Amino acid sequence: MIGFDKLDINHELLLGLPFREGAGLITHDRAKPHHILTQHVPGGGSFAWGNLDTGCPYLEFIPIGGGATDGVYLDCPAADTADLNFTTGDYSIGGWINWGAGTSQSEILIGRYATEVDGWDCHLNATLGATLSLRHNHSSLGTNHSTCFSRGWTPGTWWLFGISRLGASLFPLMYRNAAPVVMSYSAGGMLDPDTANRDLVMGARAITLAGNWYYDYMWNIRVWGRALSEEEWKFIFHREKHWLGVN
Amino acid sequence: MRIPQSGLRIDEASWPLLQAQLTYWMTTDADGNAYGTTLVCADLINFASYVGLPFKILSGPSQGQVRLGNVSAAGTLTVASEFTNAAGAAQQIVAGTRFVILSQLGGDGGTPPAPPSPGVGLWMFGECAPDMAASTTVVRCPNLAGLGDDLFNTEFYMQVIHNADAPGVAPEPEIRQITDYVSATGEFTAAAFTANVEANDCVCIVYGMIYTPSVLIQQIFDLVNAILVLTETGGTVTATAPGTEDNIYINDAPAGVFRPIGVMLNTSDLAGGETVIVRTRYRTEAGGALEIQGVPTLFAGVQAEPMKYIELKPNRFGVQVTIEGTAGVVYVWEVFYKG
Repeated sequence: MIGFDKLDINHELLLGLPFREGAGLITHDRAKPHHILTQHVPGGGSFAWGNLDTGCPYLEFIPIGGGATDGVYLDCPAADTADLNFTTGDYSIGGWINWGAGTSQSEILIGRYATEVDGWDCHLNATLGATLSLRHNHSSLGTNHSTCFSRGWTPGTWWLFGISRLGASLFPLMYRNAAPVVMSYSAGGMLDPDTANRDLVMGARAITLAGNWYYDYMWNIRVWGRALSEEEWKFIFHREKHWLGVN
Repeated sequence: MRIPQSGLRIDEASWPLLQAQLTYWMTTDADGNAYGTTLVCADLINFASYVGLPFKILSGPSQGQVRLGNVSAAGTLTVASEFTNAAGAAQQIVAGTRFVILSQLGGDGGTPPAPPSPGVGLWMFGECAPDMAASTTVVRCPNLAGLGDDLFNTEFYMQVIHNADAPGVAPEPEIRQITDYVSATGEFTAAAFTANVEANDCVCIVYGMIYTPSVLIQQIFDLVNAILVLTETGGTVTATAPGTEDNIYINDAPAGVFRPIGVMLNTSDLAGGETVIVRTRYRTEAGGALEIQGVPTLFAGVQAEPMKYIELKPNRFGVQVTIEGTAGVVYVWEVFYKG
């Protein structure tokens, strides 16, 4: 028998969302913290649970536009996500996305933050070269944020994204389908995020929850409290790519 | 050896130097192939093989380019990779093109190095011709021409190792069995890739006995990867009210067969006069309804043994455990499953 937590790859897993429920407004975390994320639909948008032809489950975010109530998002209260309050330490964020270029806005993938104040977030943007960005917000440092990004995250395609951040480094790395990608960094690199007491949000701009909607599909989004190596991203990629029809 | 003497006096100082540097100097007397990988010069049949020596074009669009000779047969020379023009496209070496075969000395100053022919390796690198038509099955690599018709059929495989205009995208890194090989052009036919192989892509040709073990390893990996993993998740549910069922655990559309084991339900928040009913449902066909299995279980009042265990069965199409109980009572639960 293989134990989930005994697999090396799952060591220090803090969030694991396989989106297996297939129904309802709640999605559960199979990492030890048992975070519970709740679907929110402020206006005309919707969520859809589904399965690919392979059987792979997914959660689809279906906004109807870029307006203040047009999108949908997942939320987990700040009090329940203190373990995702990354500041000086190592962390990794990854999972499978097949996103849509719905509006000209950046689309928030996942974050626990307040823009330009504290915390961290990942977002996608189609108009800037299909970028995936990681932002550290740190108003206490004078500059309100530092950002790094990579290009080539073509919408409409399943990608395994991976971000590994060593606390001792100012230069986190991104991986696409487990291959390192060319990175751009703010001058001076990525400074530590300020400590944040914010909800974990997926699919919308934090705090206002009124824009920057994420479009389309996600599966198996994960967060670790350590920096995954390229070999570990490759392990994940080769284990899971068959579900998404990716070579 | 055939080198020009016109304009040279018998005691010309450059004559021995020319003899040392050049092996053969001539003009092609017929068109080479359209892929730029052959030169035709009937006079060559009068001389020993020059395979392994560099061939340099002296006139025409490819003038100045040097390629290694791979094969020499019946007055036709095949070079290791195509001659090209200013646009980078394959350039046919037509009749009347001046060329020279350069002398290539070995490290001991004497014997030339052994020619690469026949040039067949267990792993070979192929460059798709710049003018190659996109195809899922036919791939032309001029640098692999001249190795003998059908040599690679069946026992060799082709892998696309670089998609030149879309790195990382199919057909990279697919691998397919080779079914035909045309020596004159370096054209391979393989089982169909899922996307076109295109000009300037890079491939490798791999002998089956090398490739097969990696296939077996992949198959073993796939088997291991399909082993169900003991996994746990859980949460907290607050009962809505009698008449409303709240999900504890649900997997409404599993990816495939899996093994739910059981749900641990903590009823320690249940007080006197409060009740909860636990129900388990299964779906046994795609698109079917979730149907109750077993008798719904009622728990009423304070529980002497508050931790309840609901055993679950193997499943393919969906499973659900719900509670229906007094409003506001909080239940902490966890589920174990192999999935």
